[in-house]
Amino acid sequence: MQNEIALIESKTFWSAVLAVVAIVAQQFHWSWIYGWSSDPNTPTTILNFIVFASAIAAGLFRTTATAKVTSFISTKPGATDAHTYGHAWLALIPLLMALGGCNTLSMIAGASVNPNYAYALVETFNGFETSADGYLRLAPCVSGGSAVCRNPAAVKAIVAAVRTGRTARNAVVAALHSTNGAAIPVASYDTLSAAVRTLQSAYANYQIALPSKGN
Amino acid sequence: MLSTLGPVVQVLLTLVNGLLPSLGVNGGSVVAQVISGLDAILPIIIKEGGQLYTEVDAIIEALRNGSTPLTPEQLTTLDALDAQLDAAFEADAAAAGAPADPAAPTAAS
Repeated sequence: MQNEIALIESKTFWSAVLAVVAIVAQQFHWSWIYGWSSDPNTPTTILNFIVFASAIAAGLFRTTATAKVTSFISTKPGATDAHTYGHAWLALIPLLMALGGCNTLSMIAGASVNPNYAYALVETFNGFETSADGYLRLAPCVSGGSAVCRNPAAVKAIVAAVRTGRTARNAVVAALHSTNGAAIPVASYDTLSAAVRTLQSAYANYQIALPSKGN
Repeated sequence: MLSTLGPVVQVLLTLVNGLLPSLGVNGGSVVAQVISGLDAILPIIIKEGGQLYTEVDAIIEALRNGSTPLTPEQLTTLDALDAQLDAAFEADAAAAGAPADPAAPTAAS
């Protein structure tokens, strides 16, 4: 029985070690892991998965070991639980893994957003804002006038969305700076995303074109 | 609609934006010149309209996130440039008949 428990706790240990290695690789952006992929999101996603899976495995192995020790003691009056307490530190490892991987876990739970997505959304919004300003400078639509004109209803929708989006964009950029490029809270990202969707919808409804680089 | 000056300014802004990442930590004097240059030509950019705002935004972000450390005065200048772009949008919105935004930035000088 003790050999069996030692084997399970060995699995706990190595699961925890694997999670530690994955976290360290992420934190230090190890070139031998990140170098093979042109897209840094790919190894990050794989490492996130390893951290998450290893932490869960360590926790499960540890729980199983504890249950077996408790069961063993109950059948052997007078036996000590030294094995359990002797390896009690192992119980801390899954906790540390969860804490170390909280960035991953919060992203999985939808509480934070990958910074690359946030940067992309900021760029998207900036493009829409540029188009919005160009649209505002068009002549107002009049009966029998040019088809290239600004519609008051579109102006109202676009300006409101740009104002909301601008505040959210500034919050997203500030969050990216404060986290030094790590994942950011989802709230301002969602607001910016909603503003972009509103602008997309307004641009589609009123047939407003987005600018292209170099034009 | 860009004037004849607009495409020239756009090319220059694109060029500056492309060169900024190659500046190292010792690029302080170049960064200072870029910031003062942006400050000087921003009225022209605003006059040309929103088509150039994206490039200016990109340059401001590249300066903020670049490897060249910025002084507090330079960061304040970049904030002021950002505020001028926002204020220019609000001025265009007002001219187009959009209701005023109580939270809108005021025009910076």
